[in-house]
Amino acid sequence: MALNLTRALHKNALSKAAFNALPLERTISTTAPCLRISVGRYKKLEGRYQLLTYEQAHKPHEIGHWKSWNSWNTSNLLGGRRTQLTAIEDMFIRKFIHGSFFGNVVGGQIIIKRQHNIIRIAFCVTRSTNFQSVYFMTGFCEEMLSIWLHCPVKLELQTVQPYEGFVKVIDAA
Amino acid sequence: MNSINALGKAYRISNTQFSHLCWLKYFSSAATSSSTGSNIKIPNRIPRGPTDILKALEKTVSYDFTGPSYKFFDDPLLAPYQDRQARMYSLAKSSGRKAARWIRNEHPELFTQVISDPPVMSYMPAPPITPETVSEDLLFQNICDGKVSESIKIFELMQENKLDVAQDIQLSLLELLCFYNCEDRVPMENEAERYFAQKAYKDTTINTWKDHPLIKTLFESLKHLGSAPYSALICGLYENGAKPEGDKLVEEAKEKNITLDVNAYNAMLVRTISIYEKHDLKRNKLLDILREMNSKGVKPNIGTLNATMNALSRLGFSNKYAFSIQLMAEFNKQGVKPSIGTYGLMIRGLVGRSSPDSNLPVFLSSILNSLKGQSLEAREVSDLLFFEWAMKACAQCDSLPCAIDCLELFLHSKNRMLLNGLKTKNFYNNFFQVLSVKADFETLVRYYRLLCPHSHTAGPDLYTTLFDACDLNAAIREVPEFWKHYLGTGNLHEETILKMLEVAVNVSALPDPAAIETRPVLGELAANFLMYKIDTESQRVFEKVPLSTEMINFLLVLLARGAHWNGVQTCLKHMFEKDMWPEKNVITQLLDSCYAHDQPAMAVWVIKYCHANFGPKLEMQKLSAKVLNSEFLSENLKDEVKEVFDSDSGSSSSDGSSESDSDSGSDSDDSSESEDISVPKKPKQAVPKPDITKVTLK
Repeated sequence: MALNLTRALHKNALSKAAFNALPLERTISTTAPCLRISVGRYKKLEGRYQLLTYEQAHKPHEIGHWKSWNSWNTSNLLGGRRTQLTAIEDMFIRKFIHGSFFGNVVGGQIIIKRQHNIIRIAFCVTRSTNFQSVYFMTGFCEEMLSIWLHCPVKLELQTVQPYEGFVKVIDAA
Repeated sequence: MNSINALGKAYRISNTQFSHLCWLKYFSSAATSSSTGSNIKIPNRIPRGPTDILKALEKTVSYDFTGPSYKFFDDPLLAPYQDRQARMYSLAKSSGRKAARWIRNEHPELFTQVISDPPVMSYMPAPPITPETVSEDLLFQNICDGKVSESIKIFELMQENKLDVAQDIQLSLLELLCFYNCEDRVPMENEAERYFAQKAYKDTTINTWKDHPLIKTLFESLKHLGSAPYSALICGLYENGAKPEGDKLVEEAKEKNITLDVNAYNAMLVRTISIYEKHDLKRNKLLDILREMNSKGVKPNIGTLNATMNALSRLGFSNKYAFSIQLMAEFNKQGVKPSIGTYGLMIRGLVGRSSPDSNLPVFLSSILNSLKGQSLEAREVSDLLFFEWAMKACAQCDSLPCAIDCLELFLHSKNRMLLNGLKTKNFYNNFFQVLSVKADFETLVRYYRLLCPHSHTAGPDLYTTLFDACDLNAAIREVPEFWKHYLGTGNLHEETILKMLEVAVNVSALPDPAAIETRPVLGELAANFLMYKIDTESQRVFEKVPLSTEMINFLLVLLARGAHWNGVQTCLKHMFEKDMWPEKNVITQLLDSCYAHDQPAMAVWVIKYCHANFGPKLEMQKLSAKVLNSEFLSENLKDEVKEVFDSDSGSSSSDGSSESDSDSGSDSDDSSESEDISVPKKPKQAVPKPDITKVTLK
C-alpha cells in the first residue's frame, strides 16, 4: 500500500514540479522504520566513552522488571485521582531538590513515594558536603515542600562517593 | 485410570469426613450457644478518635538503644555518634525549617495556592494585618494562637478605627500579654533548642517585667470586672520578677475585697520563697495564704500543692518530712491528688543543702515502688523535675536498687519524655555515679552497654572508672570497646587517656588467650590514636591534650605487642622530633616483641635508630646484649650492629664529620638488606652529635 502511495505521489509530484520530485519521495516513511525505538538507548560514540547512571543503564522496557519506578503513587491506577497534579508536582519536587542540593545529587534520580498524606523523597548525595549543611538543607527542603504541597514531606538521604553514581560504561566505538 | 478413580474416592471419603466433622462442630457449638445464649454480653462501643490507630501502632515501636535517634539519617556518615554532634545536626535541621518559614512570611505572594481540603492553616502564610482587614474575629484567632505582637497590632488598629472590642476578648488579650510579658514566645520544638535554652537560666529575682502601656489601659478599663483582671496581672507581675508591684496589687485587691482566683494564689505562694525574712516567718506566711484560700472558698488545684511544696522544699526547719506528708494528706482530702512533680519537690526538700534527711531513702524507695511500671504523664510544670531529683537523691543516698528502679521507670514506655537535654545528661551521670560506687563490674557493664554510646555520651570520669574496673577484673575484651567509645566522645582528658593506655598495657600483658587475641586490635587502635594525635598537633597551634612522654611510651609498648611495625617507626621518629626519650624497659619490651614475632630486621633498625638518636641515655649496648647473644639475628645483622657500636666507640675520640659518614654508610647497608619492612633511608639526618658529646661530658 505504501509503495502504491509513493508511486502515486511520485507521479503527482512529477506532473506538478519535476525538479522537486526526489525530496518528496523521501518525506513519506513507511511503517518499517517507524518501529525502530531509539529512546532511552545509548549508542557507542566515536572517540569517547560514556558513563551511564542507574537510570540510564536500564532500557525503558526493563522498568518494572530490572529496575523500579521513580514515582510511586496511586494516581495512575484505574480511577486514581489528581493524575496531572501529581505528575506536575513530582516534576516540581525533582527540580527543587536538584536546585537545593545543587551539584550534590549523585546518580540524577530522585525517588518520590506517596504514602497516605506523606511524601517521601529519596536520593543520594555526595560525601564531600558538610554534614551539618546537609541537615540544614534537609530541614529547609522538607519545610518548603510542605508549605507548597500542604502535606508532610520527608527526605531520606544516603551518602555515596561521586563515582558510585555511575553503574555502566559504554566504550568508544 | 484406576489410580485416578482411587484418588477421587479417597478425596470424596475425606470430604465427607470433613463435612461430618464440621457438622458435628457446628452442631455442638450451636447446642452450647443455645444453652449459654443469655450470658453473651455485647460490649459497649468505645469511642475512637481519628489518631487512635496511629497511637496503637506507635506503641508497638519501642525506643532503640542500639543506634542514634530516628530523626537522623540512617547512614554511617550522616548519623551522629556523640550527643554534641547530635545536637548540632538537630539544630541545623531546625534552623533550615526556620529559614523556610521566614521565606514564607517574607514572601507570602509565592504561597497562594491552596491544594488541601479542608485548608491546613499552619502551612499557609499569615493573613496580612491592615486597617481594612482587622476585626474582632481576627483578634480572637490571634489570641488563641498565642501571637502576641500581631494581637497588639490588631488591637491598636481597631482602636484607631474606633471599632468596639468585646470585654471578654479584651480580658483574654490582657491575660495573653501578662502571660507572655508582651513578648513573642520563642518556639522550642526541638530538644536541642531546649537544651541550650535551659542553660540561659531565667532568674526570677531580676525584674524583667515589660510595662507595656497597653496593659495599663486594658487593666484600667477592665478593673470593674474584679477578680479576673487582677488575677491575670498579679500572675504576670510575680512571674516576671516585679514583686513590689505585685504586692501592691494584692493589697489593693484585699482592700477592695476582691476574691482572686487560684492561679493568683499559686503565684503568691511561689512569691513567699523570695520574701526577705526568716524561715519560720516564711512558713507562717505560706500557711496564712492557704488559710485565706480556705476562708474565701477558693478550691486548690495541683498547681497550689506544687507551689506549696516548692516553697517548703526551699525552707529549712525541723520535722519537714512529717509536715510535708501532713500537708499532702490535707490536700488529698480536698481532692487534690499529688502528681510526680509533688514527689520530686518533696525529694528536693529532703535532699537539702548540706546533708540528706534521714527519711529520704525510705520515702524514695516507697515512691519508686508505687510508681513501678506506670506510664507517667506531665500534669504540671514541676512534673518535669521528678526524674532529675529522684536520681539526684539516689546519688546522694548511694542506693543501687533505687537507682535501678528509677532508671527502669524512666525507660518505661514514654516516661523519658519527662526529661530533656541537659537534665537527661545529669540523670544518666548520677545513675552511673551510683553504679560506679556500688555496683559490681557485670552490672556496670550491662547498663553501660544498654545506654552508651547512643542514648548517653559518658564523661571521662565514668571511663576512668570503667578502665579501672577492667584492670581489677581482668576484663580483656572490654578494653578495646571502651577505648573506641571513649575516643568517640571527643572529650579527652589527660588522666583518663593515661589510665586507658596503662590498663591496655596491663591487660595485654596477661598470659591469657584472650589477651593474645586483643593485642593486634590494641596495636591498631594505638596506631590510629598516634596518627590522629600527630595530625592534630601539626594542624593546631594549641592542642589541649598533647602527647606526653608517658603516653607515647605506653603507645610504643602497645604497638610492639600488636606487631604494628610501621607504627613503631612513626612513634620513634615522632619522639625524636619532639625531644622525647623512650624508657629503657620499653625498648627492652620492643626488642622482646621483635624476637617473639621473628623480626630481626626490625630489631636491628630499632637498635640502630635508638643508638643514633637516644643512644647515650639508653645505653643501647646493654639493652641489645640479649638480642646479640641469642641466635635470633643472623651473622650479617650481628656484625652490622656490632659495627655500629664499634664505630661509635671508636669515633667518640675523633671529630664529628667521620661519624656522620660512617652512620650514613651503615644506614644504606641496612635499608638494602631489610627490604621486607619499610626502613626509611635517612633516619639519622638530624643527629645532634655535638649536643650528645656535651651531654656525655656533663
